[in-house]
Amino acid sequence: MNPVITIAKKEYLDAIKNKLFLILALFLIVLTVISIIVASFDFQSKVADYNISVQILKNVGKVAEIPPIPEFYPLTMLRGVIDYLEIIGAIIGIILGYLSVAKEKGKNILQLILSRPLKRSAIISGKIVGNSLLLLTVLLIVEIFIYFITWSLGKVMFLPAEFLKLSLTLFLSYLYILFFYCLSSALSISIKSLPNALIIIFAIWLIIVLIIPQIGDTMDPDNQIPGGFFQSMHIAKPQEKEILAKFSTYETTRNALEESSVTKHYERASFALLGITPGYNGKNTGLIFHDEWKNIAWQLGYLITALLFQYVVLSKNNFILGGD
Amino acid sequence: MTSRIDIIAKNEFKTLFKENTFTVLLIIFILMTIFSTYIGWSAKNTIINVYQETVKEISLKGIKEIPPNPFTGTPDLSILKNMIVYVFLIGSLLALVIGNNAFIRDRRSGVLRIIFSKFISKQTYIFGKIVGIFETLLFVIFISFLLSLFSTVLISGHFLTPIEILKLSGFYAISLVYLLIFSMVGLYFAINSDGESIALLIPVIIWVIITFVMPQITSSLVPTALLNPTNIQAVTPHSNYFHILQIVIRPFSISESYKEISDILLETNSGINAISILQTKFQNAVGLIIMFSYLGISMFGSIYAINKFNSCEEGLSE
Repeated sequence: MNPVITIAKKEYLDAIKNKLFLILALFLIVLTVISIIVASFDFQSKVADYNISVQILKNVGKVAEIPPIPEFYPLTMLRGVIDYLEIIGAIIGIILGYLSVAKEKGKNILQLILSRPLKRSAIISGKIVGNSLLLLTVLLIVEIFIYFITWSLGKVMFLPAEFLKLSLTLFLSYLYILFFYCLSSALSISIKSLPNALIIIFAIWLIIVLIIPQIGDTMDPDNQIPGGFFQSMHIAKPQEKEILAKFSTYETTRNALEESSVTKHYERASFALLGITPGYNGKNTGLIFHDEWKNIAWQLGYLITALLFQYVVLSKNNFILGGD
Repeated sequence: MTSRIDIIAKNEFKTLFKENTFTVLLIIFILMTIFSTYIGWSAKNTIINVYQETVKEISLKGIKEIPPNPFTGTPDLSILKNMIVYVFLIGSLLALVIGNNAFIRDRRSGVLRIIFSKFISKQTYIFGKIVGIFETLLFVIFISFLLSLFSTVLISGHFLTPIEILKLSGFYAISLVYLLIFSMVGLYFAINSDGESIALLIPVIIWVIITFVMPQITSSLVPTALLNPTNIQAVTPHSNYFHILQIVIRPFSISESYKEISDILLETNSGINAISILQTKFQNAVGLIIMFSYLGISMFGSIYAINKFNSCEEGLSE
């Protein structure tokens, strides 16, 4: 059998027997379900509030002032799911990367494997293929749960276009989690102590996933007042853009900061695909890709860099022979 | 017994500062403390300028009803509001690592067998560790307090009033309680878990539940909503579901309680107002009591767990 397939198979089977991975995968699925249920209650609450407003307006005879009914787009219910994929998905990638190294490092197993007529690239490729299949399995289960929960809560069946957008979003999630897998396994090999490696990886995760996007959001002028600053000032979108153009240095700094985080690129592309970003609801998938190709390219760029880092680390003897 | 507790506590304090992982997280926390004042100041100034530009645009259109500047009268301490987020984001993770390290380090090196074979009881040992953790966090919080104080004075160009200093101290005191909860959770799982990784991962999952999941369930906030120091959600939904959860689960959502109490301390103008808001907001008072309860439970949990701990264990798995 091809050594890459053999290693991939072993990685897959090892991971599904691991308690840490199983806890995290289950946690992600539970959070997906909770998130959709909460979003559906939130929407029902908005509809109920709308009906009360309509009744009041009808009672006072102001029928002309009745606002449009809140529209239901099932994919927008997944806002929380994306947040959890950003946080828990990245942790799953980190734990998989860490485990794939921890089970061999310090026990001289890696040295033993390398004493066989086996290329180092085959080891990494096997590990990546095995863990990729595992991630795709987890994301497939998440997709099935999304489909099942939205159907059971509101008897909503996704249209083919929506199904395609959901699948593409989950594929972006796969690329995003794989980035953390590669980063984690490369750092677990290169840092001498495994527990130190895990905490350093978590520190990097904290910066990339939470701190950088948080700073960007905090600096956003529209995020300073409940409901939005510009809405409170009765300013429309085109005018808002005109005003912000006068603060281009500040906006460029804020944007550059956000763009340094892979999480923000994943979030932007996913939000556009799911129609969470205003103006993208019902938009053709091709047009969304046309708008979002830069974010997708950035995400791929980050992944390729992490992959190269992993290959470089394993090609250096001092990292492997150094042991723990 | 007290002197032994002191020795263990002092040793814990000194050892932590020699550890790379603790140092990395501490540096991130300290840097973010300094940075938070700058971000707060820069964002506030820019937004005031954006407001002025917006007013110009509105005036040019002949609109006479100009909305008031939403930032008029905001207190000087409000530029520190990012610090609330960094405490429950970085600070709580730092606390988890401190609590976890305090026990895992000794388990990993196998010194527990030697320690417990001497005339040191398990209670003395764990009290020493708890005091050591408390002293470390107190030190971290004190440094952070001083940095916030000096940076605010430097940026605002005048000294803070005694009431403002009191409010800032109140914020850091609440933060210390919040961090202690997570350090005790870290300590509990370090004692109770079979493996090193799981001892760190379970507290991280609890941290995710407290920080992101509970606010979503009780207030329909998006999971990352608490990362913005301003709650940008206009209203909480009014349905029965959210109403029941607001009553039943919300007090247990300590991240929301911590954020609300801290908001009142840092963003309310007068000191008397801040105290009266805290008094009148029954929910916050309950939240504060529950924060202390969490701390008590996790601390007593660690003391109980050490009694059950097998000090003759063979070794610690990864």
